[in-house]
Amino acid sequence: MNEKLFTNEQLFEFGCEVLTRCGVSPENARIAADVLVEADLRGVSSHGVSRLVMYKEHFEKGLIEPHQEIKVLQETVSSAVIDGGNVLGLISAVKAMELCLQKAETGIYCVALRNSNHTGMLAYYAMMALKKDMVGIAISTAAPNVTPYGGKKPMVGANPLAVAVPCGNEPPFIFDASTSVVARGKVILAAKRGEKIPIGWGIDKDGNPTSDPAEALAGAILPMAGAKGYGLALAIEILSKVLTDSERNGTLMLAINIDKFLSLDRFKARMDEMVQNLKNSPSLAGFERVFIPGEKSIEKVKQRKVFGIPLEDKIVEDLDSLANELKVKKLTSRG
Amino acid sequence: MEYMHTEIKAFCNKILMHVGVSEANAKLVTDNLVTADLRGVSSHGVARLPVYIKRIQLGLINPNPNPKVIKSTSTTVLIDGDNGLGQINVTDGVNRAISIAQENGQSMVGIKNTNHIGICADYVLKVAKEGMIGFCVGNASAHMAPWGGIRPILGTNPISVGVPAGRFPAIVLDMATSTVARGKILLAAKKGDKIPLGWALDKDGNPTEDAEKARFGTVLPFGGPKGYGLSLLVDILAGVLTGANFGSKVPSMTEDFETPLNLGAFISVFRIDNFMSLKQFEERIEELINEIKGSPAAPNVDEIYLPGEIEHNRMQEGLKKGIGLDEKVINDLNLLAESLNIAERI
Repeated sequence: MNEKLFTNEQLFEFGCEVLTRCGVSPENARIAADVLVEADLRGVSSHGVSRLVMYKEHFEKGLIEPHQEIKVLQETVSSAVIDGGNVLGLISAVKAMELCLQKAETGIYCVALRNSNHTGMLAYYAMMALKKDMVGIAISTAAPNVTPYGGKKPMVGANPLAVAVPCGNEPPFIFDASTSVVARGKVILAAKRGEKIPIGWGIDKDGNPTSDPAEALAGAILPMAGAKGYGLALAIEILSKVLTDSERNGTLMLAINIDKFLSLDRFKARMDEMVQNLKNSPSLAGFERVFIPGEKSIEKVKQRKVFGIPLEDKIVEDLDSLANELKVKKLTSRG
Repeated sequence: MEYMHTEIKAFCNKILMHVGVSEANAKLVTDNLVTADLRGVSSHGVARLPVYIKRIQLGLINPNPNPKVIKSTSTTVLIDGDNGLGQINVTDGVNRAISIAQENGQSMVGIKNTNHIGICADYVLKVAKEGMIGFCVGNASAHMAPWGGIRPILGTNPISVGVPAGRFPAIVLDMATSTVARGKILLAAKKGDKIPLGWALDKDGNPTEDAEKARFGTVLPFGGPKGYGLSLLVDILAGVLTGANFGSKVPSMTEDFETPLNLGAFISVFRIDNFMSLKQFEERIEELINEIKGSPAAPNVDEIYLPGEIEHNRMQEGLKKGIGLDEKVINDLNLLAESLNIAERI
C-alpha cells in the first residue's frame, strides 16, 4: 500500500480549514484539528484527519451542529453534567475535560457529557490531565458492534477506556484500549484486502465463529477475553451512557488531583520506580523488552514530528476530493 | 459436603476472636469470606482463614487496627490501615466513601498499610444497596508478569464495579486482571491436573501445561496487553497513589512470613442523582438488562447473564441449602481449631 508523508502542521492547517468551511468557528476548529492530528501522530490513523470526510457528511446532513453553546446542566462540588449541544464530539469532549481539570483542583471531579458525538481518540482527553499533573480518565460508548458474552447479536459498543498518569523522569502511563477483542476497523481493513481474520475475533450472524471478515461484519465482534471484556464493556456502557442520559455517544471524564493523596514529587518518584522496574524486567522470547502502556505511541509521536506522518494514498485521495468540494487548498505531500 | 453459612460463620468468628480480633471485626471478616463461598468464589472464601490466622499469630497483621486519616478533602480521604485485616480496613473505607458521596456527590478513598482484602464484590454490592455506584480495586502479591515479560511483577489485581439495577439484582463485576485466578493453578497442582496453555509460564518464561511448573512461574494477564495495562492501572491507584507497597515490592502472602504486606486499596463511590434521579437511572438500567437478556444466545448457550448474576443466584441458593465446601478446606479449618485449643469442630 502506497503512502505519502505530511507534516503535523500541514494536517492541522488542513483540518482547521475544512472544519471552518463546515461552519465551525476558527477557535473550535483548532481544538478539533488538534485532536485529529494527535491521533495521526500516535499512529491511530482510524481516528485522525481521515475522519474529516465523515464529519463533513454529518454536517451536511445536519446530524451535527457546527456551532452551539455547550451548557452546564447540573453541578455539584464533585461533578457536572454537560449538554454538548450536538456539536462535533471532539470539541465538546475537550471542553468537558477542561472543566473537569479546572474543578479537580479541590480533589476529584467527574463530568458527564451528553448530547455529544464521535469523540475520536479517547487518549487525547485523558492526556489533557498530564499538563496539570493529574490523573485523567475518559470512558465512552461506541456504536453497538459487540455481543454480550454468550450472545450472538451485537448489543454493546467496543467501549473504550483511556487513562493517563504522569511520571517524573519516565514518560507518562497512557492506556487507551477498547473492550472488544479487536477494533472493528481492523476487520473492515481485512475485508477490503481480502484477508482472513483469526478465529475468535468475530462470529457470523448465526453466532458461529468465522474467519471471513465479511461474515463477521454482518454478524458481530466478540468482547476481549470473553466474560471479562463483556463485563468491562457493560460497566463503561452504564457509566458513560446510562448515567449520562445519552441515547448515542455518551462520555464520562474523571480527574484526580494526585496531591490530595500523596505529594506530587513522591508520587512521581514512585511511578518512575514502577516503570523502571517493569522496563528492566526480563522479556519473553520474541519480545524486544517490556513496554509501558503508551510508551510506543510516545516514541511514534517524536518520530512523526521529525519525519512526517504517513497517510495511505486512498485517504489522501479522499481528502483531495473533500478539498475540491469545499474549495480549500489540497494537502501537498512532503515526500 | 454442604454446610450452613451460619455454622461456618460462628466457627470462623470463634477462631478469629481466639487470636485477638474483636467480635465486631471478626464478623466483618467472616461475612466477607463466607460471602465469597456463597457466591461460588471459593478461592477467596474461608479457605483463606488459616493464612490470615498464621499472619496474625506471627505479628504480621494487627488484629485490631486503629485506622488513621492521613489526608482528606471534601471528596477524598487517604487512610493508613494500621496493618489491619483487609476486610476491616476496606469496610471502614467503603463506609467513609459512602458517607462522603452522600454529602458531596462523589468520593475517592485510598488505603495503605492493609492486607488481603478478600472478595471485592462484597464491598461494591454494599454501595449498590445504598443506591450508588461503587468501584473498588486492590493490589496483591506479585504473581503476574507484565505483557511481554516473564518475571511476576504485578498482582492479579482485581477490579470491581457495583451498580444498582432497580427490580433486578445489582450488577456486580468482580474480576482479576489475570487470565485465570492463581488459586485455580494451585488447585490443579494439588490434584496433579494439567492446565490449558495460555494460563501461565514456567520460571524460564516458557508456556506450560504443568500446574506445578506454573506455580513457580507466572500467571498471564487476560487479553494480553489490555489486561496488563489494567493490572498496572490498579496498582497505580491502589499502590503507588496511596503510599502502599506496589509492584514486585509486595511480598507473597502465602510464602513470605517475615514481612507485613502493606497492601493498598482504592474505592470510589458515585451518587447517581448527581446525574439523574435514581428512579430514572433504574428505569434505564432495567431497559438495558431487558435488552441484553432478551437478545439471542449463541449456539450451545442457554442464557445470557449479567455480570454477577450467576454468583447472585448461587448465593440465594446457598443461603437456603448450604455451601458446598471442599473436605480439604474443612479439614484445614478443624486442624486450625485444634491447634488453637478450640473445642468446636465443623
